[in-house]
Amino acid sequence: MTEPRPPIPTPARRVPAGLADVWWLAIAGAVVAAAIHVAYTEISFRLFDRFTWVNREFAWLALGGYLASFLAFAVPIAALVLVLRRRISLRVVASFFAALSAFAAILLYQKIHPYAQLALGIGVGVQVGAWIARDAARGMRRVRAIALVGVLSLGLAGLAAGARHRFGEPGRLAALPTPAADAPNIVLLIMDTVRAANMSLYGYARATTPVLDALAHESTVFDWAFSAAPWTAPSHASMMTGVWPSEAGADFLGPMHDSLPTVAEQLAKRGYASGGFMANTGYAGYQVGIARGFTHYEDYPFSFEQALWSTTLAQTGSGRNLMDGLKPGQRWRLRQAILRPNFHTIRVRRAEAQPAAHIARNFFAWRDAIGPRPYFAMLNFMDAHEPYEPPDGFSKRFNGGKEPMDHYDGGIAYEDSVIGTIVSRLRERGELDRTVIIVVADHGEQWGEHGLASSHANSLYMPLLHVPLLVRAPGRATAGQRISSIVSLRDIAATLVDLGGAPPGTLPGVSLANAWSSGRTDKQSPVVAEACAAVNPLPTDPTRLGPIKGSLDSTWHYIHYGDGSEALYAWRTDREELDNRAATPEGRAVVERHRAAIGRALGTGWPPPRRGLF
Amino acid sequence: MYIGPDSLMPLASVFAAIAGFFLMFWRRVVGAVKLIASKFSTKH
Repeated sequence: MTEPRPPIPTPARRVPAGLADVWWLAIAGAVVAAAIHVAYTEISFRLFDRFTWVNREFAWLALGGYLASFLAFAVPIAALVLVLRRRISLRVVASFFAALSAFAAILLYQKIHPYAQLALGIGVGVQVGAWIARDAARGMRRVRAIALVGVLSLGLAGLAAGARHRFGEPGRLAALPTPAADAPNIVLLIMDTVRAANMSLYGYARATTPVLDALAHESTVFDWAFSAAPWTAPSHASMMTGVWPSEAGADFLGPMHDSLPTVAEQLAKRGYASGGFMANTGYAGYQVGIARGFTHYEDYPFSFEQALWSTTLAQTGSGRNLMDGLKPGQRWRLRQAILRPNFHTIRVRRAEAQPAAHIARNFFAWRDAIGPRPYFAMLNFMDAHEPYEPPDGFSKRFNGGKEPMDHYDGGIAYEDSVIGTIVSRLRERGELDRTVIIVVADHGEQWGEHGLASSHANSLYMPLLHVPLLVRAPGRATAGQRISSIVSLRDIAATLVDLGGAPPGTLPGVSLANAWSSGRTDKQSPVVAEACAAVNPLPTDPTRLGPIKGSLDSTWHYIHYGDGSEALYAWRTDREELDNRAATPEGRAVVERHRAAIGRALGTGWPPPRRGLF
Repeated sequence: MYIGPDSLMPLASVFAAIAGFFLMFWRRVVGAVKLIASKFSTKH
């Protein structure tokens, strides 16, 4: 006697897809992709201290971005379902959206070749599609449940994550102590990636900084100010804490240590409201840790483009081309996105930088909202940063914009003009003379020196370290003074809290007030700089060999590379730093002195031990 | 020539591609395996 055979399931391909099925499958697919992406970013950042370059409210932004992307695919599929009168099977539609969702999630793992990611995504999609269609009624009930629960939970999670930041400022301001009656406002303007050598303030042939040239007559200008790091995150971290970059800990992968006291925290103790307005969202955003203590901090903008950019699909080469192809004059990108598919994801998922005028506008909007309380505002401008695209025609201001450096100079000129607007508006409001303005750059840029084209972060050569520093502090810093001895931006932190009324020693470093009062810098911090080891270096990057340490005195610039080799340049006379004097009899004694100086500054022996990438 | 993470196809890619292929054509793969197995199996 033969056993009864199990019932043969209805072949899945025979179940046709309805119009509603298409929408539900698209929404559920988007929800699953967004949930995986959000979970990945939360685990990476919160558990493993890894930058993920996303907005605080990423959960709902990602949800919105994935929904928009998936629904864009759903529209033609829905049209096909209508035209072909339900001859498209549910299994095919479900497989498509499941594959899209799986592919979007797999793109997060960038160590797999894009076509392998695509194959795996399709494979997963085929299986999930078959599973849904096997029992269509039950499968679609689950799809609808996933869609509804996912939309609600991700949306609420995103809003909740941003609620404290978005709505908590009145409470934070109310909790501040009463400030001193004579406490000045402090405005720190950071020109990202602007080297002193390309500013007319420092003798550059092009009039890139006419506003600062004029402001110099009312200010103290430091002719030789040096950044403590050749790129944004460690330089900002040092300026906001007063510790050296390796002590701060911020590098290419993760944030600074969360135990370090910050400028904003110290100023809050003295009643200051504080606002950060950062165009460089990736490496000066909240994830770096420098936002700690600010009562208000703006980095990633909120926009539809940002929402789309929050998806892995938009971060692929083709995704970016599709997005950019919708802009006027860039229709060719649409063709390229389709004809030359590129699924390589862009490694640093950064937001489009806001132009300096927007940053200034946001600052004044905040300033209007906080009332008469003294404030500390930090504004970061990115218009001179790669890709060197300053707005308002500034890109063609010099030499018709023929060369990349013409655009760079245009970016500097644009930022200079916005600084002029800020100064004018403060003057119109009658608060310029009770506001200290500090103009600085976090680091410079290389333009072919030492074979390093339009780049930073990868060396400690002079173009990256020599930065502008101008202080307009009426009644404090001598107007029209130029200080020609060397200073380190490490002392910015001590200077800011000193201006806010904190006693010496509140933060590491020495206030530059000592220098602008006396014209002498011998009591300031030593000029030490550190570059962390590269991640994915180019073969020409000096940081490919490991972290670099350097120090300067009034004559010499010493550099110690990751492989133990050393360089010593007489930087005052050898401005291009081509003549390495480290091995000369004179140089050997100087090298010994600088090794000891770096060891003392970092509180270590020699060579300093590795700390992460530093 | 510069060889870095971007210019190498790691082993994970090969595994991912194979897994994707099997997932896409699972029924056919299983069917083919069964067919081959039945050819070689002893009939009673």
